[in-house]
Amino acid sequence: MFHSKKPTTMNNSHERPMCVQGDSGLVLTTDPKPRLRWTVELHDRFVDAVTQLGGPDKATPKTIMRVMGVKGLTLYHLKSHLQKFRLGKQPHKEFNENSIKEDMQRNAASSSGMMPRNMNKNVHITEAIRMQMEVQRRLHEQLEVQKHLQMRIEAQGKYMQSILEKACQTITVDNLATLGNMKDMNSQMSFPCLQDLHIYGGNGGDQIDMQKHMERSSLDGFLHNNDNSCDLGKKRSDPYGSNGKNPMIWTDDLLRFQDQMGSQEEPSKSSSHLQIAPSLMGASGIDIDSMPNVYESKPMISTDSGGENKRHGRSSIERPSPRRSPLDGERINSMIRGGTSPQTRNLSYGWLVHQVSYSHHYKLKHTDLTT
Amino acid sequence: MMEVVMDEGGDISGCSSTTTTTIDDDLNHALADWSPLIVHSPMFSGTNNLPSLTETIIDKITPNKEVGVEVEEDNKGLRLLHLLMASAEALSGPTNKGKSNDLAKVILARLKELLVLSSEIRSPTNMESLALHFTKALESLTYVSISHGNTAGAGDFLTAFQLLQDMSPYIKFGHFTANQAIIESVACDRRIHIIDYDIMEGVQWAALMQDLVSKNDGLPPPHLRVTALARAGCKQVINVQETGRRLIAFANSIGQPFSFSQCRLDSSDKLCASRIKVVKGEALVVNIMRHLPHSPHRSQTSISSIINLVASLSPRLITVVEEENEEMEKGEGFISRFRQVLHRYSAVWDSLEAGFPMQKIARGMVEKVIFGPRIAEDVKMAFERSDGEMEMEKEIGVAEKLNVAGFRPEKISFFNHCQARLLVGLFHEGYRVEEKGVNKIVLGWKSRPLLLASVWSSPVRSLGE
Repeated sequence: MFHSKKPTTMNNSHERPMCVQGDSGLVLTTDPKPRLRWTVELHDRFVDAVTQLGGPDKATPKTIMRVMGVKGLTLYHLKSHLQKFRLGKQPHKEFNENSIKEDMQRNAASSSGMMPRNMNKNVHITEAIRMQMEVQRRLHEQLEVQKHLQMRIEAQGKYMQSILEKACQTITVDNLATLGNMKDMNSQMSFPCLQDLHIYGGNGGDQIDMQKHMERSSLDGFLHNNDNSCDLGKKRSDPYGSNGKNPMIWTDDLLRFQDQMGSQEEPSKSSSHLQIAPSLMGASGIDIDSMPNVYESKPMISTDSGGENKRHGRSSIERPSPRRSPLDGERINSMIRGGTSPQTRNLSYGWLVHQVSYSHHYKLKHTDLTT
Repeated sequence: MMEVVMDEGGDISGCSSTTTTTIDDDLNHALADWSPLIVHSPMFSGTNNLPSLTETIIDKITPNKEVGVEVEEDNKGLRLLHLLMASAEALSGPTNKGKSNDLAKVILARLKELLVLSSEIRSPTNMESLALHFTKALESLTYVSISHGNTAGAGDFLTAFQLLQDMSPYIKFGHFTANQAIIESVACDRRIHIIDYDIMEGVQWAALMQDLVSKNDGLPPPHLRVTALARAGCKQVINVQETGRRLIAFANSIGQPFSFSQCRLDSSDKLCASRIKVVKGEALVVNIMRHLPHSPHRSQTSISSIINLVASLSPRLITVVEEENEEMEKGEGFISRFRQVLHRYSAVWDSLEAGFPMQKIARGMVEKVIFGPRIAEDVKMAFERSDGEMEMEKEIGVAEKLNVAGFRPEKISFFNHCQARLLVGLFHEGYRVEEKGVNKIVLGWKSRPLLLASVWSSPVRSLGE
C-alpha cells in the first residue's frame, strides 16, 4: 500500500499530515484512519529490540512488542514494520526525517512536469539509500555482536579467575624456592608435574633444566597478551566506537598493578598472567623482539550485504607477520585507522585476553563497556 | 606368509610437517594411499618371523638419505604415521584372521624408540608429539594392565583448561553459540530453568548470567535455575557441588538471581526423569555439551537417559554441541575409525600449532592433561566398537537422534552466526565456521569439521508464539 502511494506522497509530502502525540508517546496522524508514525526514536527502539532478539529473521512481532514495551503499539504495526525491515526497504515515511529525502522532494517539486524521469531518478536514489541503510543496519548489528562477545569473554574470564584463585589457595608452594620471584608461578602451575613433561628429555626433572624451561615458558606462555595489550592500550585510543575509554583505563591500572606486584615479595593471590608480568617486564635481558606476536590482531568480518551466509570473504587488511615486535604500536594503529575500510574493525585477541586478566580485579560490569 | 604391500604413490616432498593443509583433500587421499596394507593369510601363525617381518616393514619406509632436511622432517612425520597405521592395522580384524597383538607391540616399541631418539636431539615436533599420544593410546590396547590414566591434579587441570580456552575457540564456540540461542529463546521469560548434561566447571553459565544481568530492557534480570547432572561416584558429585558453589558465588557478585541443584545419575548412569523438579512458568532448556576437549567420555546410557528426559519434558529449547566427523567408509572396522580419530586430532594439533608455535610448555601441558586422555579414550572407543564379531554401527550423534525423534530444528540467528565467526576469527583464520542446515553450525580447522552446534525445540510448543 505504501509503495503504490510513493510518487504521490513524495509530491505531497511538503504538506505534512497533521500529527498528534498520544499518551503513550506514539505519534499518530490525524487522517480519518489514524496511522502510526515511525519516528526515528521509535524506529531505533525497534531496531534495538530486533537486535536483542537476534536479528530480523529471528524476531517476531509478538516478541518485539514485549521487548519494546511501548503502549499502544499493536501487532499490526509491528508486523508491517518488521516485514519492511526484513526486506531492507525502509518505510517511506522515515525518509521524511532524512535531509536527503528533502533534496529528493525538492527535485520532485521543481520538475513536476517531468515526473516520469524524475520518478526513475528518485527510485535509483531511493535504492541507493536503501542499500546504504541495509549496510548500516548490518554494521550496527555486527557492532552489537562484538560488544556482546567481548562482554561474554570477559565474564568467562572473570569466572575462571575466581576458580584459579581458589585453586591456588589450596595448593602449597613447592620447593622450587630457588627460582626467586618465579615461584609465584608455582602455585598456579604445580611444578612437580612439569617433570612429567620431560617425556622427551634425557634426564627428567633436572632443576636447572626446569628453570630454563620455566623462564622460557613464562616468556612464551603468558606475557604476550600483556605486552601486546599494554601497548595497544597506550596507543589505541578508540578501537571501538563505544568502548574508547577502556584500554586507557586498563593500561593505567596495569602499570599501577605492576608497581604493586614488583614491590611485593609474595603476592597472596593473583592469576599467573599478572604475576609473570612484573618480573619479566622489569627484566632487562629479555629480547622482546624475539617473542612472536602470538596474539595477532585479527581483521573482523567485512560486511557483505549480499551474503551473510558466505563466510570466507575476508577484508583486505594486511595482517602482521608473526615475527614482528609486539611493541610496534604504530603498525597496529595504522591498521586500525588507515588501512581498514570503514566497515571493518580490528579486534585483537590479545587485548581481549588482557581484559580478561584484569576484569576480575576491577569488577568489570557491563555498564563499563557501553559508555 | 605375510605380505606387506606398500603403496608409495604421491609426491613426498609436497608434504609439510602439518598433517592438514589447505589442500587437505589431496593430503587425506595421499595418506590413505600411503598407509601400509598388510595382507594376512590364514596360514600365518607363530612368531618366528616377526622380527624379520617388522624389519622389512620399517626398512621399506625408511627415507632415502640424500633428501634435504625439510623433506627429511616430512619423511619422519610420515614414517611415524605409517607405523601408527601399521600397528592399528595389526590390532584390527578378528583374531583368527591375523590380528596380532605381538606385531602391534613390536611396532609400537619401535615407534617409541624413534620418538625418544629424536627428542634427545631437539624438542619434539608437532607430529612427534601427536604420535606419542597415539602410541600410548594404542599401547594401552595391547597391554591390558597398563593404564595411562589421567594423573593430573586439580591444579594442573584448571591451568590446562585455562590455557586451552586461551589457545583455541573450541570451548567458547560451543558455549557462546548455545548461550546466544538460549538468550534469544527466553527473551521474554522471567524464570529460566536449564538442565545441564555435563556442567564440568560451569564456565558456560558465567557468561550466560552476565548476559542476563546486562539486558537493558529496564527489568530486573530473570531468575536462573541450573540443574546439573552428576554421575555416580564421590568425586563426580563433589565436583558438581563445587561447581555449583562457584556459580552461586559468581551470580551473587553480579547480582543475578540464581539457584543451583544437582540430579544424580544412578550407578548405571541412568537418569530418573522424576528426579528433576519441573516448575510451571519456567522456560525449560536442556543443554548438552559433549566431546569438548576438557570433558571426559560419557557413557551411552547417560546419553540415552538425557534424550528420554528431553522427550518426556518437552523443553522449550535444546542446545547440543558435539563432535562432528567426516563421512566414514563403512565396514572397515578399527582401521577406519582409528584413521578418523587420527585425522581429527591431527587437525587439532595443527590448529594449536598454527596459533601458538613456540609455546611448547604451555601447549605441552594442554596436550598432556587434556588431549592426551581424550585421544586414549577415543582410540579405546574406536577399538571397542570394532571389536568382536558384531561391528557396531557408527555412533549416532544426539543431533541426529533428536532429528529422528521429531524435534524441530530451531534457526540459528544471524547474530549467532556473526558471533561465531567473529570469535573464531580472534584465534586464527584457519578456523572455519560453516552452516550445515538452518539449525546447525560447524566449527572446523581448515577443511576438517570438528564440532557441531545445533539447536532444537520441542514439537509440541511453537517458538515465538
